[in-house]
This record gives sequence, structure tokens and C-alpha cells, in this order.
Amino acid sequence: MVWNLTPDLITAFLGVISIIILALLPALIELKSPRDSGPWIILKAEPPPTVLRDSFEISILDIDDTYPCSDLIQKLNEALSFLPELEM
Amino acid sequence: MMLTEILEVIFALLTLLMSAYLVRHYLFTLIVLQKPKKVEQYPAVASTYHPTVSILIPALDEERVIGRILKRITELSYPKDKLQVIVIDDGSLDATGEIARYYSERYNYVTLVQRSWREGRHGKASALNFGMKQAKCEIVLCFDADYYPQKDIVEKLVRAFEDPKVGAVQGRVVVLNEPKNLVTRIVALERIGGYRIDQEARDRLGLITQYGGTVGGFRRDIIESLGGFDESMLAEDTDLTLRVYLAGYKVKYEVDAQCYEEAVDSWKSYWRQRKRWSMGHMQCAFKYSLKILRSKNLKLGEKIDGLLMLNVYFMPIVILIAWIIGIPLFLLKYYRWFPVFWSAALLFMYSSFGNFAPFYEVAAGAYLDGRSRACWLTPLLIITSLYSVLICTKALLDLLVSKLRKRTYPWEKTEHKGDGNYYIMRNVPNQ
Repeated sequence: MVWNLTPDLITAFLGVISIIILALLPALIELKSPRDSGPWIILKAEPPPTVLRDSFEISILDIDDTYPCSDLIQKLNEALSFLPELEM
Repeated sequence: MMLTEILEVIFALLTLLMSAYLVRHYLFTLIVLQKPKKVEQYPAVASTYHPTVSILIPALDEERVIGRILKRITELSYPKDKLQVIVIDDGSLDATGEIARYYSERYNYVTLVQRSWREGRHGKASALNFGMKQAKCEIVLCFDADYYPQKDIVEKLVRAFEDPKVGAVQGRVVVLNEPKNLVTRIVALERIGGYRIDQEARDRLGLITQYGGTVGGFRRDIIESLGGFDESMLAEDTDLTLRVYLAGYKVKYEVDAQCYEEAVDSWKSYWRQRKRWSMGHMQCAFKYSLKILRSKNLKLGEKIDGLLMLNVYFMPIVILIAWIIGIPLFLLKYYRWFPVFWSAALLFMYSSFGNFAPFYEVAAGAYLDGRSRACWLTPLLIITSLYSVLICTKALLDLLVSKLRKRTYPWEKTEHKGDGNYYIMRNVPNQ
């Protein structure tokens, strides 16, 4: 096999590289600053949903929404009740 | 000399095969572009056809998303007295069952069926068969737990069944978490190509429209007469599609019936999901290729398209083999054409590396959706095209190994993170 790096070959190679860069450039721009990243089809086609985040999920999982250490704080408060009030 | 001639013949055959897909996808794109269908706005065109409908929602460890779809199901515009919703908790180890029970206790048309983790967790086909035992309605629709349908999606899907020849229906899937990262954006493009062009063209041309396992449904009596879902198949949807066609029925595609999905958002998840799809398709190819050729219920066009559809996941492997043969052949014999080859390389890449929804299909689909800026990302599909070569090769090897060892390949579930809520909230104005 005789394989020389001819000027034609270099030109063709550089041409392909240039086209690849040109093809990828818009993609990189859209990734960097998206202007059309969807989704939009369904929400444009019908009135928006009334409930967006399902609050029921949280309530039925019995997640207590009070302060997580409320019992401990209560006990500490009682134990320190002998101290004078700092608020005037 | 003899070796190069053999390689030339093999290479020519592979090129012929790739050209068949090339022509197929160009044809699909031209057919849809020739007379693009305007997507129907909400609400759906009023119809007097309101059959009873069972909706199956299989769920396995889906506590992050199950509440979203169930809430949405309660907002559907279809008459509730004709609706039966069956949530199949297939042995979840999280709060999926508790969330589903909340809805089943408050809405009389929602039923929860559960299996323990010992009985369940055997794949989607197994879960669907379990749920089908409870289905009482004429039409059965399926939605995955991470989906978010249009309010009038049931009306849009069931109207296809007015035609008695229609055995199954498929709606359009749109990616919900598209803006999240590069992976979701590429998956969204693939979905556009697949659902805006590919499925629509097949439907128009009367070829093999594919039931995708979700955002779709079937007549209950047909599936029961076919023996339910085949639990040994990893792509129970493709398996069902072919059984419906071989039984003499059609699958109708409804582009207007749109539903959001939470797409995979990492390359690892993409690999797992696509490998499962590849293996499932390959299983179907081995199972149905001869049956398709021998079928008296299929026309010639359907047979050709059916074979092309079934073997599509072999194409990345064909491309790999073509490279392995073609590159040394080229360097040994055709090196004088090197500059010409380089000049044409991009054209070949764009034409042949389609990743099942080739570049022009995706670009045309995005254009029809009015998303000109999304077209800019089309060249990035080369990433998944190359990735698919690895995925499909591994899928074929794993399938062959499991066949040799006479073991069933386990179902690998796709994890859903529930971040789709954010994208719903963000896009709704003035809430």
C-alpha cells in the first residue's frame, strides 16, 4: 500500500473537520443558552393543571411537618425554666 | 486476493441492508412532510363513542412519581362511570402502595392490586398480566407510573377502536424533563423523530405501527384470546404488536394523544434502558421473523416493514461489522479514493448513523412541531448513535449467553426520580 499525505488529502481532512465544527457549533450554542428546551406541547394545548405538586403524597407518608426536634426542645425548655427571662 | 473479494461481497450486502433502512426513513420523512397533520387542540373532538376503559398503571418502587399520575388520572375528562383504574403495585419496597391506596380509598374507580416483593418484581409483562385479571372493561389502556397524560387522552385513544379492525392503539410520547441535561435533550429528539415522523408515517402507509407498551391500549378480548402478555419477553410491547398483526388486526397511531414521560437522565440509565429494549427487540426478531414471512394476514409491505422494524436493533452491530470489514478493505484496495471518501464521510454519517430515528427524521419532526431551535441539537445524535453500537453489541452477546445457559434475562427497571414536577410547574404561567 502506498499512502502519501498529499495536499489534496490534507485539504479534504481539514474540510471535514471544518464542517463538523460548523455542524456542532449551533448545538453547543443551544446547549449553553437554551431557548427551545421544551416541554410545551401539552401545556399549550390545554388549560394548565390546577394542582401542580401533589401535596397528598407528603401528608399520607406521615411526614410530621412540625419542628423535627420539638420534643427535645420542649424538655430543654422545661429544664431551663428556672433561668430568668432575658426579654424585657 | 480471494479474501478481499469475500470481504467485498459481505460489505456490499451490509451496505444494501443499511440502504434499505436509509430508503425507509427517507420515505417516512417525505410522507409526513408532504401532508403534515396539524396536532389537535384541547379538548378532543366530541365523540359519542365512549366504551368502558380499564387503565393499567404498573408500578415498582415509584413513590416519587405515582402520586403525580394518579392525581392526573382523577382530572381526566372521560366519563368516570366508564373508567376503571388499576394500579399494580408489583412488590414495591417504598411508599408506592400507600400512595396508591390513598387514591383507591377516595375514588371508587381506582383499584389497587398488590403483590409482595416475593411474588412480584418479575418484570412489566408479569405485572400487567396480574393487573389484567382485574380488568373488566372493553378497552384496556396502559400508562407507566412516570407519565403525565393530557386530560382528554382517553377520548383521543379510544376513538380508534370504532374501527373493528383496530386491535391496539398508540399515542405520542413527549419528554417532560427535556431541559434537564444533555441526555434528556437527546432522548427528547429521538422521541420527536420516532413519534412525530416514524410512527405517523407507518400509520399512514398502512405498515406496522408499533404499540409502545405505554400511552396506548388494546381490546381486552383480543389480548385475552392471545393468552395475555408473554412474560419471557423483555419487550412485551413489540411482542404484543406482532401478535396483534399476526392475528389479523391493526395498531392505530394517534399523534394527537400526547403524554409526557420522564426520560432517563444519565448515560448509565440510558444504557440500561436501551439494552433492555435491544434485547427485547432481538428476542422478538428471533421469535417472529419467520412467522411474519409466512403470515397470510399481512400484506407484502407489512411483511417488509415488520422485518425491518424487528431487526432495527441489529443495525448498529451491522454498522460495526461494516466498519471492521470496510476500513481494512478500503486501506488495502481503495486507498486512491481516500479524498473522495473523506469528502463524503459526513453525508454517510448523517444518512446511515440514524440511531433508529435518523437525523433527517428528527429534524423534520422538530420542524413540524415548530421547534426550529431544537433542530440545532440534531448533530449531537451522533453520540447516541455511537453509544448504540456498544449497547446493541452487548445486548446481543448477553442474549446469546442467556440462551446458551438457558436462563431468563432479568428485567432491569428504569429508575424515575420524580423531577418532572419541576418542569410542569416552571412552564405554567400565572399560577
